[in-house]
Amino acid sequence: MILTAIELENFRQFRGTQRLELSTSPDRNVTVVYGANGAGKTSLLNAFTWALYRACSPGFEQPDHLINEQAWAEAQPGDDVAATVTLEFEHEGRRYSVRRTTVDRKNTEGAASRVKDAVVSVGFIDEDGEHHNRDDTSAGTINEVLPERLHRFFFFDGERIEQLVKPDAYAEIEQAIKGILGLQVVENAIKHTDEARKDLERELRDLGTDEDRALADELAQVRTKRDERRETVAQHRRNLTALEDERQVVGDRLAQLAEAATLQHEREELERDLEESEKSIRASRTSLSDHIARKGWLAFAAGLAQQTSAVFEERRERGEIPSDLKRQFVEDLLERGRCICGCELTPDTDPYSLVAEWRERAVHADVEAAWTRLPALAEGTLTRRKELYSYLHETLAELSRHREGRKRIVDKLSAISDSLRHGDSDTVKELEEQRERIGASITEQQRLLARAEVEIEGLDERERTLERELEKARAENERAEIARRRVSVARSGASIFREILDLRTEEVREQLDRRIKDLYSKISFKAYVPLLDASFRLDLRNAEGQRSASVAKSTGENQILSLTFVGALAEHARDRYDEAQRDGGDGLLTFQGGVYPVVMDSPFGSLDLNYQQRVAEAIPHLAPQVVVFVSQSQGLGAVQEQMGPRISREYVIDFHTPKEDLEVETITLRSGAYPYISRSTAGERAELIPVRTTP
Amino acid sequence: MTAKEQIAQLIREASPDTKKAIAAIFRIEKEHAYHSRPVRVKEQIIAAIREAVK
Repeated sequence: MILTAIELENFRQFRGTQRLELSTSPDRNVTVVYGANGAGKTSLLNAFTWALYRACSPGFEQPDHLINEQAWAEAQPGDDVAATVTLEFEHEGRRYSVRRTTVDRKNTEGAASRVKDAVVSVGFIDEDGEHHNRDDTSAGTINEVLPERLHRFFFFDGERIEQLVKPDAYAEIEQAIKGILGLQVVENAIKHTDEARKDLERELRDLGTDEDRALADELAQVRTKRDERRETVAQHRRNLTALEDERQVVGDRLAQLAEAATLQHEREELERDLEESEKSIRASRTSLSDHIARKGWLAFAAGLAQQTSAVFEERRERGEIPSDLKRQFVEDLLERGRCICGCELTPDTDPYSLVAEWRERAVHADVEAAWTRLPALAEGTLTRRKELYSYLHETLAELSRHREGRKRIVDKLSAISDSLRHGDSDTVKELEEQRERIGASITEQQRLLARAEVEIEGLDERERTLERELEKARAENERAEIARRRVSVARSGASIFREILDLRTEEVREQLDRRIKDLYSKISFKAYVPLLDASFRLDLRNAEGQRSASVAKSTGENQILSLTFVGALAEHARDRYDEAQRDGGDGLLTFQGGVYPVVMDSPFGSLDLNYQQRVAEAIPHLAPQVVVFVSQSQGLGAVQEQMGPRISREYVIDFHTPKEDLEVETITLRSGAYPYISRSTAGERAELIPVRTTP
Repeated sequence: MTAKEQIAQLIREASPDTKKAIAAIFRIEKEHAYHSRPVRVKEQIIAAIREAVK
């Protein structure tokens, strides 16, 4: 998607028709619009998202009042007044035009009644030059080009972008990752296949006997309950993440207070030790259960090995092992029909019966060989038993050491907490008490989480049992058998889709994490390392990989981190898009991605000069096309200096205001001075002035 | 093993009925992916499963 132009008609501050042509050059990919605070930069940003998705940013005031006030004031009763935004873009060889309009009618009292509410139409010219219009499926067309769930990452307010690194943003980031991969198709497949399965189960239930129905009813209840528990588990996990973040914030505050800093740092180190200690305990326990599961039988084998050896010894002493007479030898005599003494051996005669009796007494060669091996085997079993006992003693001793170590750490942590609670500072005391309360809530959430997980395990087991019983009960009914297979296919299909979703999500999270690290190291001069962790939390760590109070406190670092995330997302989407184009990309194994522009308002916010320059340097590289709105006071120098060679189009919003006490202002750019704030005799309005076009 | 290989293995190991069904379901979902109000997707999926298991 490459944006080519946006046209506004009586939209907010923009009176009449105003057009903004955008840079489409790959080398000079930046378009800059300068405007004073309140001149219409945020309105311009929202014009993009409103046209595409009818969406406005959180900070955009009165999103229902889009019609230009001056146009409305000049309208006569009975007149219709429209606010319209037309966005033009190119995508895969087609030229699109999205037009959204809201129309209000002015009544005799001057009040508005809505005639058209954000009606949208999409037109496009295809590769053959044919014109098409899509009114009914316009939302689908736009979503195909840039999915709505992703728009906040590509059209955003720079001052708010740092929200991405806030602790509660991980759900949004997870959604973005799924969106960028086109994984909503798989999510929908899971949802719809589960719904289909329920219908098929009802069908199956109707085909069954009373017994089947009772089982099917119970199965449905078990599944409903299990789904509820899964949601409970997800909620407990969300609560835990939020509580852990809250505890981290309190810890960071303690670390900043002189009277608590040393103890808090000591506690952070001890908590890391505790984590390590618990990891070791878990590893020892896993190793123990693994050994016991595989070799635990050896503990009961001592008597067996001794008895076997005794029996062998007894038989050997009786001369039965090794045997003088082999069974095969007797069988050969019977088959030849003649004994070694020369006597004829005919079936049903006494000589034959006498020789045949020896066959029963003789030992089979294989059995004798096995008996011969037995003493060595018995000895080996005893040796392995000794080894098992030795391993158990060592590992139990190690476990005990780890437990003692853990106890020492817990005691130290408890002592630190006591010192902080009983110190002289009320602030420290309050923070510590708050931290303890959060800790108690975390323990409670962990307890509830564990209980819900155990319940889920039980319900899963019950589900499997009921499924087996139901299958058995229905086996003889042919129609029911087909219905059962359909249910089974729906279930296994949904399960495969779930696994695909998990695998793909994790894969792209890892890839994004690598890209973010790489991009961040190029932009920031701090020795921090960004991390997109397994729970989609984006934050900065110190060189040791730890979160701590000193890391990521500055808005500048957070803003760079957020921009890095957007850049990594855009880059990843481009790569996936290229891959999909190359491989045909319509199967389960490839996902589409896309080429997206970045449109940002106030990218520098209140950053200091150093950060402004770094951010300005990074912005042109974020995406193939970048549109930036800045004010004279926020980053004009950085834009001109760092982004200058990449700018192809520049505009100034000349803001006309009737305020008499306001000073008229101009903005000085390289190409000259331009009106920035002008005096108006006819209400407030904004006018887009083209400044420069460099091909 | 990469995610792509694991997914390929998952599909390879599925029963023939399941393979047919998931290919059809995925096709249906792709067709409806960008519609703001998907219509009768569930019914189409049920029909696809019936077709896969006769």
